[in-house]
Amino acid sequence: MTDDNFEPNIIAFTCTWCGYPSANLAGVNKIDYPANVKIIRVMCSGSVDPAVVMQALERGADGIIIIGCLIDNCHYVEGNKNAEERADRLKRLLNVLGLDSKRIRTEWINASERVKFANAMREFVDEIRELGPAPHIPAPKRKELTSEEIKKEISRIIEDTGAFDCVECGKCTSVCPVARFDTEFAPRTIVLRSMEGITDNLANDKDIWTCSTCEMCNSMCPYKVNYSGFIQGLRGTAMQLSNSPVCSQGGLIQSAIRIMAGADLKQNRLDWVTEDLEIAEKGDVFYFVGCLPHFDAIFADREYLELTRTAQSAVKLMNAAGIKPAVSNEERCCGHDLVWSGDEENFLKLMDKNLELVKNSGAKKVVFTCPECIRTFEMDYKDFAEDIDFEIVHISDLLVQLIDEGKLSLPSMADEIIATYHDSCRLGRHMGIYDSPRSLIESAGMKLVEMENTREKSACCGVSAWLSCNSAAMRMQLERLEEAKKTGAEVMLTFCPKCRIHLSCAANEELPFDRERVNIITKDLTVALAELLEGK
Amino acid sequence: MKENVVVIGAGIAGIQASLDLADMGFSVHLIEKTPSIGGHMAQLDKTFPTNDCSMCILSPKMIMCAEHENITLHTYSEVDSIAGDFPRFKVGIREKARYIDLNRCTGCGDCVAKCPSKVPSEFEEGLSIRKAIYLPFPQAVPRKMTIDAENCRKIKDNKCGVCLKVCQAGAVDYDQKGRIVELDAAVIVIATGFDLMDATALPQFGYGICKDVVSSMQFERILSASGPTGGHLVRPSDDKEPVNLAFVQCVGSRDAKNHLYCSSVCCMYATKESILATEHAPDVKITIFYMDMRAVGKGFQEFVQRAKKSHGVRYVRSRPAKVQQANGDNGVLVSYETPGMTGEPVSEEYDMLILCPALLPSSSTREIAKMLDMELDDDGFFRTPDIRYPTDSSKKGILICGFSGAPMDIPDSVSQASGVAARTAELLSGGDR
Repeated sequence: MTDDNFEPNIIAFTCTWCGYPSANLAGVNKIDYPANVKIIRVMCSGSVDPAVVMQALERGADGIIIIGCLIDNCHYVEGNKNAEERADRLKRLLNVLGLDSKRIRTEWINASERVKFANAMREFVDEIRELGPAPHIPAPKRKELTSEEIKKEISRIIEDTGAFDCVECGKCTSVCPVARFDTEFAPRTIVLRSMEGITDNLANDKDIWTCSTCEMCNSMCPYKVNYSGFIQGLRGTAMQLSNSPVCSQGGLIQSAIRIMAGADLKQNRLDWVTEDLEIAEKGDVFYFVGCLPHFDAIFADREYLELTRTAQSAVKLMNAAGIKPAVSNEERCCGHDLVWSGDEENFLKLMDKNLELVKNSGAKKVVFTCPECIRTFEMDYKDFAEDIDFEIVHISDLLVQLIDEGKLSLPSMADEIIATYHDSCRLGRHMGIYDSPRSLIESAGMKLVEMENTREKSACCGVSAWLSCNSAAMRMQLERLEEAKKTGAEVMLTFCPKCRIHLSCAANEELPFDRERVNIITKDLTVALAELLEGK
Repeated sequence: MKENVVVIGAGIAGIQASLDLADMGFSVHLIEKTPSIGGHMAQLDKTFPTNDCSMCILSPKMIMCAEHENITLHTYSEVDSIAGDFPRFKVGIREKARYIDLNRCTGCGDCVAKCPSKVPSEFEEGLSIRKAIYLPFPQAVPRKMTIDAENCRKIKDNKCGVCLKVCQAGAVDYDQKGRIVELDAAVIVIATGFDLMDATALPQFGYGICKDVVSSMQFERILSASGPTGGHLVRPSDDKEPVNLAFVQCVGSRDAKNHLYCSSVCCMYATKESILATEHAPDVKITIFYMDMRAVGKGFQEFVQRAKKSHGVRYVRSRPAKVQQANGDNGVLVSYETPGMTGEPVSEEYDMLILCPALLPSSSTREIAKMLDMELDDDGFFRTPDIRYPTDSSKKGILICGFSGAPMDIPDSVSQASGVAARTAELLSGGDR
């Protein structure tokens, strides 16, 4: 793959105290090092956002080197240690994506170590030259839309989503979980503005990104307006006008997804497959794992999440019922987060790849654990693609069916656990799957206690598609945890990995009240069921 | 020979049609499934937009029905069968056993006083009780008792029998059987009216959950001088006078998930009930959560203006999404969005909440349509396909008036009923264009 003429494009983030002076000194002392290196000075190596590193790789950098003070000599005490830890997580993520983890390097160089700096650069450039170019993902294409075209596009969205039927009754805003905490935000007024042809502000309308698309509004609307679809449509148009969202994790995850969409890399998605799990390459049943391995890398600092255990557990449960599911290393992100952040172009690329993959596997049935993945296949893929001839099943429905058919039996729990169940928006309101999870909890011999807001009224975890993580989101999360705690349950079960990520994030922040109020374990229901099977 | 006309349903539309037809010389058989004629109008306190006493208008008409030589009342009766075609229909009327000899009963009420079995009163919308032997309401026509077999201890368990003992007229007959009356009819008039939607189906509005949430018909009874509270405006939870009242319009109507159509009378009766409430209790503050003010009719808009200006009624263009119990057992907490460009979700406390549920074609509508193989429209109303003859159904010789054809108010029902009478005469005189 190495091109003889290939000259790597290297970005060096150098800290202002040691990294940059060492580079400066190398220059002053006329020490040669390759011109491939472009230096960006930052205050501290610890201030380099992983998202920026990821974006650099996405948009044409072949290698990133972060240079800080010697360990234990950081001007900000532990900035370089933070940088090291972040780089490790990023390397894990690169590995899953199939980008060589060598493309990220950290070096700790004292301000006076000019030779060490030059050598490090030389070595890094050589190494990257050896690796060859990293895939360069072009930025999504923007169309120049005239105001006539924008109006037309908005009219189409209004038509498609039934927003024209809106009678401005305001039920949507009254039940909107975001509007409760963010007084600037009112779903009804977004529709109203669009209906009245006020489209000038779409280019800088931030409200459209604030919506958590949890569909509480859809479930309430007397005129069946597809509000989430309306927002999805507006976001696509807003993207064309260069109105982009402020993403949580700095957009790191969107970058990673775009890399999956744009590059054909040999990924390493299946590290979670242990020897005891029986999987196949092809077969009737395909298990679509989703981004669990990526999240495990990104949130490696939160060991308790153990997200890929969900995948292991799902396979274990299927194995116990005699199903050997096909899983694939070639799987891509379903594209959920892109289609909800307005990037239809890359979403479609992902969709094509995934549909091709399922087709080639010969599967008649695709099983999902992730509520977002199943919603994306069931709704968004079916919107865009015509030839979806396989069955789309959630693990909860599958397990209930297997239990009913006598193919799977869950041993009864020795001590009865009191559990509550959190309906994630995608599985609940979007997909309408409410009963199977509850039936599983009861089959497992757990005592199910319901929260105040449950099923169709289930509260939102605050964030969707890594957009608009803010104080309103955090208040929603804390309130949900408090609600769960109030039930007296020992554990809050759910199927959505992101709900768990978001809720645990809020619970681990510094809180202005007694932590006990929100202290409840969140656990993946698939994992809980598999544990039962293993007699834990 | 006088031709027979069968009128099904003795609400205001059926009564008016019967009177007009009878005056024209037709022999009218008026069928009503409850023990008394009168329908929903009998339950109303006042009528909009003039606030005339409802019963004062209706009651004379009811009595005229009973006394008219050309009208035969079949109360506590249902249509059993209909066969044939215009102008020779055969109608079977099932007169249910009321266990009372109508010729003997004087309506004195001695039996009611002694009856030990108590049931929620249908006429009072469950706000008070009646006995198993009962007169539905004081002005009932005919003024005869009815024993409700389901709740009578004698008929159910062969215990009690006190009404037989106290009845001086010897009118009680526990062995009475229902009977089928067969009739020939030239024309059939359907006036089966409406039912209120059961608001417990929409738990978001708190009906059946919070004590102080009542339906508009219940509130009508609360306002009525002859109602369960004797005309005192009090709320159910603690019988205290409420200070803050709110109405919610379009409960289950104008709602694609329930009933898409507009019930057409709620804006006006909510306005009427608001004005009445302020007349009963001058300090009461009223909020009406409405969608669009549908004040279509003579004097209607002025009526709304009057409510706003002279009675201080506050109209809020919003539809509450959540109604919860306020702190404690009394009152409710209503969540809605403030109207306008800066919508803000707010929650307000009210002492009492009145829901205006969708008005549905009554349950009899469907049964009769099935019996006659007649077409209903998507909302369950009888189809009246010919715009030139707005009371003609999809079947010749079967005419529709009142709410069973389309949502409408009392004056419209009455004029349609008279229209039906004229149309009957036209059809039977050979005129059929």
